[in-house]
Amino acid sequence: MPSARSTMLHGTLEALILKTLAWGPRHGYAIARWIEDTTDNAIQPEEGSLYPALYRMEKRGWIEAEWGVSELGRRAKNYRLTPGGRRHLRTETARWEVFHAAVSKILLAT
Amino acid sequence: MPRFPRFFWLPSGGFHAHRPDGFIVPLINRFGRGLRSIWRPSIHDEVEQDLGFHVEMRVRDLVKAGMTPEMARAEAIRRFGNIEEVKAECRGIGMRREREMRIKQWWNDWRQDLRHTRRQLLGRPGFAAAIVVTIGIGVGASTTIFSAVDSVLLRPLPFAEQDRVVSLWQTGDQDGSDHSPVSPANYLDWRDRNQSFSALAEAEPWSMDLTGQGDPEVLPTWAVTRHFFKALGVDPILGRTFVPEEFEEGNDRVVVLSHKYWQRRFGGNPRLVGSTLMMDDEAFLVAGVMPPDFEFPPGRPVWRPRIIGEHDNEMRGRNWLRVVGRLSPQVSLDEAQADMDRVASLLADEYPATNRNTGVLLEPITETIVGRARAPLYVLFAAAGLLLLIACTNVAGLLLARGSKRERELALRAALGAGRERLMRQLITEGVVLGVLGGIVGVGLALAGTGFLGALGASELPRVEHLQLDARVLSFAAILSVLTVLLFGLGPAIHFSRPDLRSYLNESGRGSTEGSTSQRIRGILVAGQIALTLVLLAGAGLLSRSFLSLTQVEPGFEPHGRVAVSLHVWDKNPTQEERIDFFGSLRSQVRGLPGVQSAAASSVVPFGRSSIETDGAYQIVGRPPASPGDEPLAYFTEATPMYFETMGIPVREGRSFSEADNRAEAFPVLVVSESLAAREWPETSPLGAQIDISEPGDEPMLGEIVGVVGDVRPTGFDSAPRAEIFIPHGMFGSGSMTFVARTEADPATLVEQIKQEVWKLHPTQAVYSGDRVELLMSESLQSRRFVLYLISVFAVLSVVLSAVGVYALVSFSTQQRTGEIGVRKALGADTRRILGMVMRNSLLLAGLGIAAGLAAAIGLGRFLDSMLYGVEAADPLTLAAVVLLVGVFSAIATLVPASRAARIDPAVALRAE
Repeated sequence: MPSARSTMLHGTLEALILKTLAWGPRHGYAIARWIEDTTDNAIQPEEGSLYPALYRMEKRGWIEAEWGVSELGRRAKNYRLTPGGRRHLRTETARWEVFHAAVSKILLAT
Repeated sequence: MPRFPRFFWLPSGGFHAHRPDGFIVPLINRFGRGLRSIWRPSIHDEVEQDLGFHVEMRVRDLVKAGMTPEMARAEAIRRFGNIEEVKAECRGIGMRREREMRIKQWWNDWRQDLRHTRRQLLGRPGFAAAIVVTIGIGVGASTTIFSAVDSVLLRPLPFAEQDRVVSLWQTGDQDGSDHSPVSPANYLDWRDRNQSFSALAEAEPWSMDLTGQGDPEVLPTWAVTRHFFKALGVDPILGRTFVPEEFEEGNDRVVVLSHKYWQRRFGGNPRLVGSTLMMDDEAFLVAGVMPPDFEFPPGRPVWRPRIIGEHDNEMRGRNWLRVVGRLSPQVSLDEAQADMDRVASLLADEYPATNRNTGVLLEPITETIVGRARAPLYVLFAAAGLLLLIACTNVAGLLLARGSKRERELALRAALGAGRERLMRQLITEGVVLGVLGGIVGVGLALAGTGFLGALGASELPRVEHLQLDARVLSFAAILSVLTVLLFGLGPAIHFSRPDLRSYLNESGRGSTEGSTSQRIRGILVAGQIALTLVLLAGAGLLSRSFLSLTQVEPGFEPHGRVAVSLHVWDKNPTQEERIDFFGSLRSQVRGLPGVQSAAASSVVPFGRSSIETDGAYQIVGRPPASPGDEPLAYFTEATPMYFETMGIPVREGRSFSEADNRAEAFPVLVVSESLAAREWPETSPLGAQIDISEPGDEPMLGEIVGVVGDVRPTGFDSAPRAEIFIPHGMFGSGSMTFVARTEADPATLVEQIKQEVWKLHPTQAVYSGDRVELLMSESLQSRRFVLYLISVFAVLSVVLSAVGVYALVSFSTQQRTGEIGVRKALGADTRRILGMVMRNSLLLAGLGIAAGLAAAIGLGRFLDSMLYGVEAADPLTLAAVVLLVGVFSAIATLVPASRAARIDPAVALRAE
């Protein structure tokens, strides 16, 4: 299976992050790992895009930070979904469904 | 994590869960903001830690998967691409986020403050209205007067480099004035001998008859010499001023108009420039129109060229010209003054007969134009300032009283964590909102005030036509109103933003006695307010008394039912006989009008508008001649028969002029004023004495005194009676006369009827002015009335404001003592005793205020000196009346709340406790 890393769309990464955080607050590494693990490494968010995306989303108010203590015993910045982020996730999910259905209709046409 | 303990106390997300209404909201928010701002590391550390943590975790997992730690770290970092770039990008976004958050936070806080303020103010509308109206009055009054000060005194004149332009006056006249006009010969010598002026010019008052434009009209004109406009440094807005050729005989029929006159008379028609107007029956070219705010010397809207006559250098004794000059570059006013002093002393040596005592006074042009208005405006500005201060103390008092009531609320908020800065901010927001509302009311009042001022002061204040509420004045009002509240609201704000938690939360919180600081502030406010009011009242009182004593001055004639119509008939009646006939015919025609009891004419009438006055030397026949330059002076007035009778001027001795005296060939007789008779003949009667009224050195011109008439106030109630010599009109037959008539009918109608009679004689004869004499007298009081009106309005407002203020402060303090009074009553104190107790303190403060105000009033009185007439600045009667008034109103303002306090039912008071 080809890696989707390089072709991943901007908005898609954000939607994935939001979805990840829908299960509960976690820090950046956990987000990356969760995405990698859940997609069986099909999608490996690039750190260079992941963090700017996190900061951007925080600025937009979709997620917010809280500082906690990690399993390593050091201070970690945990990201948590805000109500605004949750709304955005719903919108993005709906849009993805439409997009996915449309693309499928073409690509899978027989 | 000892540095960030709070984080662990609070359930995450709890602070957004619900938003209770009321003032709790800002408190909660305060916590919320605290969480974010206190334990969030700086954005730099945040990114370092955030990404660093990611790297650590990745390394751990990679090591677990079998890599060496070094390889794992390299791989973890490699995955970031350029990690420094990523960090920088994150920091950039983070910084923008912080900034947005700060703005949002500030905005939210502010909106909360505003919401809270609205609740506060609407909850106590009376309190809010009192403050807003108080600020409005103070700001409105100050802004109104400031707008006048600004437009009259502060705005630059329309002259280029106005500080180089000066007026030149002659000093050393016998009448003691040091602002006398200049004689033609002196002007020529000044012009030729000075080393200080780049341009010097003279202006001669001149009248021209404008015809062919409706009713004939007398046009007061300045005939100006060549460098006049250059000296002033002013350019026309339309057309041009005079060119050198126009100062040659025959080419001088050209005029320049003032903007105001051009607008009023010709509707601002631009085509007028270049066309001609009929003046004195000749066609004058309209060369140009001057800029809107230029009318100098004041009072005459038209300029024409003045050709220096061949006799100008012989006329040194009579002085009637206005002189202006522009200082040469590098020459200071003092240097120019010294230069002119030198010229004056040369002239004194050369012409001792006329110039022995003559000096020169240089005066900055601004002083010439607005100098007269300065004292009244400053007095009014000071009065408005006092009113504003009273308003400020009122605001402070109200906020203080209000603050005390809110102390519990503020203490509660403080207990819930609102910091002092947050509480201050709330109080300041309330202050600013009140200030802005007050400012709006103030600007509204100032709008009305400037309209009133413009109407009232139009004839009294130079440049008042520019009066307007422009950006400058409005910003003055804005700054004033916000400053008022901030300065006087900040005290209470500082005081109450530091509430004493224990006393309010440990106890029930109600009815604790007033703190000593608050008590002291209250005392200062009461006393200060009373003192300020007293000063303002004293000023108003002194001006009122001046006004009263002025109006009680006997003018020396009877104004009622008299009219005065001024005419210059020279052109239509070139010979002496024609002029004598003209006024003779006019007299008999007007006497025939219904209701007219008598009619006469005189070259000068008291309080009259036409101010062509002639003074000169005289010599009593049979007495040793005075040394040259020391001849006694008198004013010469030509009068027809019946003049004294028509004006109601009493004949003290001898007789007045008869019809037989009024012929050119009649035996020359004279009538003198009481002042002159008393000066020259203190013991004996002047009747039968001969006076030589010729100029010194000229052919003698004798007349015999046949009568003495009562003195009159010549130019106003405050003008001193003067030595006057009346000459029968038939002797010289002046063409510049004021026609007077006495009627039983309506004088206003008579003015119109007289004009018609004039036009029957000469259809194109212009009439200079026509007024009821009573109106002329009333107008002479206009500037005093103007100041008096305004200061009285301020004084009344100040009494109202400070009565309300004292009342509020005393009520507040008695309310604070409700509990104490209840206890005292319960223990047997009777009403009167309580009353005494409450009032003693307040009256003591009032007494202090009165003493301080009295001292200030006496100290400040001398600034009023120039505006007082017939009363001392420290007039005991006025001061006593003012003290009484202030005493009474403070007693009432104290008594009402005190008696209410004294009637408190102890049971109620104690239950409330």
